[in-house]
Amino acid sequence: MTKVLVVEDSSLNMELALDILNAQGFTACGAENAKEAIRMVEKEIYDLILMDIELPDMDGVAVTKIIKSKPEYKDTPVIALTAYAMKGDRERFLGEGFDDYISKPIDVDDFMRRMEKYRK
Amino acid sequence: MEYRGLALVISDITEMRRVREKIELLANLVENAQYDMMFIVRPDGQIVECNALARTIFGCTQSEMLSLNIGVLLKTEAGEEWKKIMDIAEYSSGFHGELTAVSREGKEFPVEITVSRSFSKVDRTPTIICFMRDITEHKQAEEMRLEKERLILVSKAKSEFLANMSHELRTPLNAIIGFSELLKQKIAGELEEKQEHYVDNIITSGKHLLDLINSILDLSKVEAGKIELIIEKMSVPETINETLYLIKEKAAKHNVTIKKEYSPQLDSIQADQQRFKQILINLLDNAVKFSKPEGGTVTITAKKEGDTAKLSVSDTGIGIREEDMKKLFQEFQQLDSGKSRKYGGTGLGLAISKQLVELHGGKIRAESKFGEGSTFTFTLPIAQKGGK
Repeated sequence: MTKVLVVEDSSLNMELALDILNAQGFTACGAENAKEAIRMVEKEIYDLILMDIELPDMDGVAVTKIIKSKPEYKDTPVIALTAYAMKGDRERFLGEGFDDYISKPIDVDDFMRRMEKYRK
Repeated sequence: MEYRGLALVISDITEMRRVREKIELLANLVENAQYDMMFIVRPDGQIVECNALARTIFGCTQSEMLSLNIGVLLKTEAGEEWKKIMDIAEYSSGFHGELTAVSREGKEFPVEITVSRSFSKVDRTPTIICFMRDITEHKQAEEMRLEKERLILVSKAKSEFLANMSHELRTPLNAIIGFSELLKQKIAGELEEKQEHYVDNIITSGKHLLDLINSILDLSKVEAGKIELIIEKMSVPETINETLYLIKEKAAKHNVTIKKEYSPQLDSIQADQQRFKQILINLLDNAVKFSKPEGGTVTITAKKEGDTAKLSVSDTGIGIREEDMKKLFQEFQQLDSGKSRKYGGTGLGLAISKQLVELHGGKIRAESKFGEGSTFTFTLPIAQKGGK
């Protein structure tokens, strides 16, 4: 059972991501902002986190740093979700602690294929 | 006694000579000053003396100058400006400002002007000393600096706008395409044939819209100078092969055979691989798209010409009319727009390709025979400054 946390401020995008993940057999939950995300990772342990870079209250990069500084999450994969990905951004994201990034709009097939890698 | 008298006379002459030398030195400095025009005027503005530079800049002889009122040299109504200057000079320690001067030919130029009052040591009559400096170049440099600052702000505003638009446009599209694909995958339940067909239509339109948005944003970025090429050493044959793979399926659907002719001399070049592929896929896509209904051949050639790489994509398609050739690389121009619904596309591909080719320092051109086919050729320098 792979538990996934999706941190995304757009309810439409969140619904889409959760539905895809649940259909694939993951157990997925969502957080709408940085504060809620931090609260949820402290309450339960997640195997994978998808992080929207453009969050309302705190920069997605900053939240990721906070989460990954917790000992239980040291090795947890965090994938960036972003509308802005361009060539050269990949290196930037990897350098900032993300294991990968996914561009929005999500390509459903591509997304499902890539999520398979993280199944426990 | 006579002896002492002699000594006194000698020292007087030396002192006099020293004073005269000093006066001559100062007079020389004033007369031959390189940057400052100097005038001595009476309180009413009548010019009493001036230096060589003043005569040169204003285009007057000495006698002409001495007949003028300094107010005439300034762009004003009959010495009005001079009166104002005199008022200021009288009540403060002097006047310092920027005005417009007028030469004898009527040419106007900006000057920095300093006016101060002095009193003659002999009879206490007021003397006005005026310095003027031509600041045309200085003002031009200032204008350029301000313009540059303004452009930087405009460019920044554009970038922010593009970034925001990118986000705003993609978010709802994400929902449209994403949920439609979930429907199609029957995650929300079984679909009847007609429902599935409708969902397909939504997905196709959504993807087309996404294409359009990406193209527009790409083009805006290129035009705003926001695209930075990532130059690396890339293998030409490998990159072309990777690109051909992307067009394989579409070519098969259109009954188009793809032929390649690579010259072994053209092995690798310094370029942005992703952008190279973008240019190439655009040309290949067009070549396949505009093929004749019964199918045809698309040939891609790569060869080395001196220090440039020359790449061509030739097709046996419907060709381009002579009068349409000049519209080719313009934005949003799809030839014979009546057909655009049949051929698809955004009309931006060639415009973007042209920008990308030119960003590399290359050129792109097209040749065509209507009804027989077209050839698009682009050249890129093999080596780039600052490449790896």
